[in-house]
Amino acid sequence: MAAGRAGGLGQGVPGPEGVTSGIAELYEQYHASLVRLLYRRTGDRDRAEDLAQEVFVRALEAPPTNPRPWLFAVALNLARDDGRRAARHGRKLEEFAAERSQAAAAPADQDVEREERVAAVRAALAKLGEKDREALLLKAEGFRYEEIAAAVGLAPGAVGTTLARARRRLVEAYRAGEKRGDGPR
Amino acid sequence: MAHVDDGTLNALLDGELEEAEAAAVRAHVSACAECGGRFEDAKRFLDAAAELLGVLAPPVDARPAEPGAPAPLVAPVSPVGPAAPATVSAPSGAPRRVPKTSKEVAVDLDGATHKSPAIMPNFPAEGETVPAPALPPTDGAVRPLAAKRAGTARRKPDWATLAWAASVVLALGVGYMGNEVSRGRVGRAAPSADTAAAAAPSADTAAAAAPERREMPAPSPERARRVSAPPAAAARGGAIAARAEPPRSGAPEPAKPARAAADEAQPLGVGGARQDAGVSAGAAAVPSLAPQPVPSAAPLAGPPLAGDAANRAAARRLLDAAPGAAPRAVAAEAPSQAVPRPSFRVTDVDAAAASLGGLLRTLDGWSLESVKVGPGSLVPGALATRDVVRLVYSDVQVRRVNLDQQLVPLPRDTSIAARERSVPPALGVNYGDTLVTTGPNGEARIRWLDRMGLWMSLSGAMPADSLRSLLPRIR
Repeated sequence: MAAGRAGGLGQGVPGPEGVTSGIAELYEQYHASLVRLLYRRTGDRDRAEDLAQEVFVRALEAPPTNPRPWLFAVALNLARDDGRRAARHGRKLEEFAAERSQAAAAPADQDVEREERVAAVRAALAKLGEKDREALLLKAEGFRYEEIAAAVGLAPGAVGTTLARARRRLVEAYRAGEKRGDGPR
Repeated sequence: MAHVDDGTLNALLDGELEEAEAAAVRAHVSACAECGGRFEDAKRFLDAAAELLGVLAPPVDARPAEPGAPAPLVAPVSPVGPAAPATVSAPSGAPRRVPKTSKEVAVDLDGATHKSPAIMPNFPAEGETVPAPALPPTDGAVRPLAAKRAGTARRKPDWATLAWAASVVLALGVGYMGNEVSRGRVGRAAPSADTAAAAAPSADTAAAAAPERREMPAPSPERARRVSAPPAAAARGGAIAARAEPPRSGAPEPAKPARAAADEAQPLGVGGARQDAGVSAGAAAVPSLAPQPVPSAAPLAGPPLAGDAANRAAARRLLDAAPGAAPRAVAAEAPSQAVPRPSFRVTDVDAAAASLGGLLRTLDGWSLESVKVGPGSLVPGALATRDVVRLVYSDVQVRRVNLDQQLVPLPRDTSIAARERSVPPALGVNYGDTLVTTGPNGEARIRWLDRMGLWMSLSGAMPADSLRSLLPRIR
């Protein structure tokens, strides 16, 4: 499993060069995964990349001891704050999907279908509780239960229950959307 | 054994149970109809949820692979569980990335603040294809990105244009006023350094930056004020001679001594300081402005007027003694022969990236000729006390550009306001600023500070618009 693949930057007393090379290593290891998680969370590729960059800025400023859960916990916190800010400024999370759907002058049927499906899944994901959603996204990134517990702030024994509930609710919300006609037909 | 809860069933499916516990749960599930049914349900939900999350995989990133670049985003590490492997994958033919849109670049430059629309109108127009000779084919990527541009333009087309026009007018006005004010203050003190520079052009790379400064619209009144020599400096006679100033007719002294005086104010002849000779000269009188090291032979260490005259005479003698040599080089190196002239040294990409904390930016589509590291004092606008990484690129037309990068220290407080406050004033740009200058020799320079704390300068012997068109290629 991937847990603890990268040594903690805060271990020992690394000099500035050690920290920067450590960050470069972390960047290589986790940047793609962070962007993927943040994209799933925000639905906006640009925002996902910005937030992922912000995560590494923070890691550079305060090198974490246990980087993997730390990086993802910071990413989720940033995504949460960003979501609140976006709500305050009236920016809809569906902006990306809407923009893309407006983009294609004459999109192929399969493109339309896929975009509708993405929107439906995103809507279903938005119906989950914050911790359920985050646990689900972290699990999709290959996190183990104890890492999810540390990153989301759950008791280790509660992760299985949280994931069970999150999976069931995600699927049910998606199916409910399909029945209402929100999803792809 | 009592019935198994859903959490345990999911832990079993995710491979999180110890072997003994997993065996016990499996045995119970196979024996208990109720738990067996719930186990099947849990497995179905797990599979379905993994499939739904797979739908949300981000678009494929087709940026050219760089050394140390992260893995492509289409291969998520998603081992959802031994019993239920993830079905997450990106659809084939998903959009790939092409050179960044104007919005993307603006976001990169401005740290997502959208504060600097000034450069946006100069990016490729809507629907315009950016020439990308070295990029891989972009198949289906064009449509979504073009549409993204269209979406961006739909939101704020007029504001960007108006803001750009306003900033140009403001910069020109402020630059003109600042120039007039500074000329009025110090015009009588001594002949201009730039007059001398024009009369005796230098081979020094940094020397070319001095006239550039004259062309540069002052970014702010604050900077214009800072560039002007303080009154205290004027009182010190020779120091003020180094102030960058437009040529003036009727200068009381010939050009060559004035040039020497300019060099006296900058004993090391370093480029970054001479980018703004006034700041350097002022720093001698007000040390807090620029902590440049001044060698013991620095003429400013002596009595201002007498020392200045003596050094001017010495510089003149040296110039007369070596008529074939570049005047600036002689005058600058003679007083401090023991001090090596700062210069760039060739290095490799890995070392350069390491010195920037792994944040090295590159220019796509151009050939990388060399990677160098040198003191910031050699690059106009950079912090003199920190190293600068220089990537030298050329294209098929043998045009050459320099992409200079320097890591600016970030504060521990990561808020935007704290970061903006922490930017050293010497940089001349803050987050969201973009400074575009063009020298009389046609060399343009664009400087900005990105949200990662990386100060960057792109310069080349080409019009500013041509240089701007390269910004989308910076990764």
